[in-house]
Amino acid sequence: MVQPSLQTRLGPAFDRRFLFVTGKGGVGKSLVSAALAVRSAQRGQRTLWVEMSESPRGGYLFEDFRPQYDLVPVRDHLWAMNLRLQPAIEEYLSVAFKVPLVTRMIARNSLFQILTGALPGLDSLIPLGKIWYELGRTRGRRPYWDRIVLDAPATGHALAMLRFPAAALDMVKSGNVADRSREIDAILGDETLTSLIAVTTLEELPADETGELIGRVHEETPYRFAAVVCNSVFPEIGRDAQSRFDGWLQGRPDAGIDERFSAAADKVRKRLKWLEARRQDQQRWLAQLGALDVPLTRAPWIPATREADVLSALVEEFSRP
Amino acid sequence: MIDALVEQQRILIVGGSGGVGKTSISAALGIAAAQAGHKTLVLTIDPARRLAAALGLDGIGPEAVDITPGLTEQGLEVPGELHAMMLDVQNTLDRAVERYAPSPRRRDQILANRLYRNISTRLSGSQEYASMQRLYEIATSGEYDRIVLDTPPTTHALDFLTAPERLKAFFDSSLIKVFINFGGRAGRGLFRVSDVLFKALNRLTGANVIRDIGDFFQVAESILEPFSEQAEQAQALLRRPETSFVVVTGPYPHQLDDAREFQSKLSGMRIRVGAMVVNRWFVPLQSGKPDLPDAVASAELEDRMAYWASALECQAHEQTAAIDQLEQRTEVPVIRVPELETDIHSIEGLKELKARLSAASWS
Repeated sequence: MVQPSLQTRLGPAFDRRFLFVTGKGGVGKSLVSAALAVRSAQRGQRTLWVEMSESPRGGYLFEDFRPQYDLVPVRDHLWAMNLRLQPAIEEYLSVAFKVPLVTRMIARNSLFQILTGALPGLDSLIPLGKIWYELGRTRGRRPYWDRIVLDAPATGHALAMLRFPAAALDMVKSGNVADRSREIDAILGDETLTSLIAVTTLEELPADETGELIGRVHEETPYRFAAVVCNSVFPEIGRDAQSRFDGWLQGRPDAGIDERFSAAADKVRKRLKWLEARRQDQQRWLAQLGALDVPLTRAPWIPATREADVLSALVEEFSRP
Repeated sequence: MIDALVEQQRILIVGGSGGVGKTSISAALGIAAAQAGHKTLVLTIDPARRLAAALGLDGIGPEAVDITPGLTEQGLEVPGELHAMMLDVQNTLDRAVERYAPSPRRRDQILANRLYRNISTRLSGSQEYASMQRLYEIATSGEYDRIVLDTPPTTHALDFLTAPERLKAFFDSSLIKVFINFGGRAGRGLFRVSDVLFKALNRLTGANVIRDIGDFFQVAESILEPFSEQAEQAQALLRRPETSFVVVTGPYPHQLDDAREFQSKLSGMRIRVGAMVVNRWFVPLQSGKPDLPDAVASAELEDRMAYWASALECQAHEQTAAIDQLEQRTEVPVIRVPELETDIHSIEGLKELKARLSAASWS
């Protein structure tokens, strides 16, 4: 089977101003989006990393950082916020309708909160509206942000967000919501500005869900995914010596290897056999993803335990020339 | 350990963050109960295709299917019975509407309402609500000795618990009356506040949405009482002595922290947690944590092998230290399930998983 090529280098899709990063829960979406944001900031570009979560991961990824709705500086050139729906609605109402006094009362009213759960689209309009606002901000003649990386919700909600502009314009032709929808559509549809990025691991459910998401977005919206980031890709230890490596794993004696590991050889074999089996499992899902016709990027498996360590190692991988 | 849990509890609810192996653990618990001689049901939602195939679940619907013959065929000794069922959210909600609607006309109005279609498929928490509803139906039917509920793959495990309350709040009659009266504009005072609210909503969304909501609540009023009673009873089921949670987690510190938080919230809500299962743990093979060599990208095969073998060993030690720490901080038994060498999505894998769950002792 011909394997699709996996690049570790990040292509031009990752240099656009707005990176919309989604993926199935648990695949490392926050980690990958944070790594993209840190890489951007390390190149001296003013970068905003936006989480959208009731249980944000930012506090694990960055030391001494507490995710909150307000913009917080994280490190040089990098700011972060957690775009939770309710404070965003409060802000939207006060900006869009200039009713700051009533705003709080309305937004905190429990009925309103419940309704926002029932009104299809409000949870898409509000966050994307906020992103539109941040993208449009300027300082002097320059944009306020060189890059915004959105750690978007998981696949289901992300699909709803991407469908939102067309769905909203179907329902309302004029007014605030229609105007906002057109603006959001202009951002999502501009391939020089925006990259849709799907993060996945090379496992059955994530690979299936990623395939379904991309298929549906390409079918039901005018937008296209610019990249798929395969996270936690296991290392190819054998490389040009693959048959020698395989042979030893299967129990064939090998003077060089046996001498190197001597007494620990059995333990090393047990470990690496496991790793090699998992790597080969990953290959079949890689083949399936290759059929999607979206460039695949590799984010290697990082053998670290703390999330902050995993993040720095991944940034280093992404920053290799 | 897990055998004692299966013996003592009639209902096991398997919860935890997404991607930690809840469905596999649920299947293994189901097998354990069936092997102990119980008539067991595993209620799951969207299992991996290979796992579904391994269990003989391919293409099954919302009705329970007896998968015992398939297991026996594959060499598993099952004195009891194992049934499996896939949760169908829309179907479960539709049936609840059918059951509680006062008349066929009302029923059809609700089922055809655009907002209902939206709510039942999109409202956050409906998956969780439906799975509680289904669990309640099955538990009260008395058809099974043991029920294992695999909770929906929510990112945040607590969503599962707050979902019924959120839906209940949504259907709370006092709030909804505001809407029902909105059409007729009866009353003042209280409604002055809601007028402001409706104005804001109208400007935000367009009037059609508001009218839809009004319509929906008018037809839905008739089934609100039974619906919220239902949600309350389902919630009460969680606190019964026959019910216990099994919290599944991965072996990484942030996953363990999440699981610990989940467990203490459950305990705070007076919901029993029978065990915490740490899945896919790397077992240390050496007594001490090795130094990591500096050869990740070496040209020599031996150097790369040394690097990765040590890297995995380091992980094993770090994970173990984090699990030890969790164990010291919680009164709930912690069960460690080592990373398996066989493919988990097969009967062999599930057998192995079940064996490891059984073998793990109270620690």
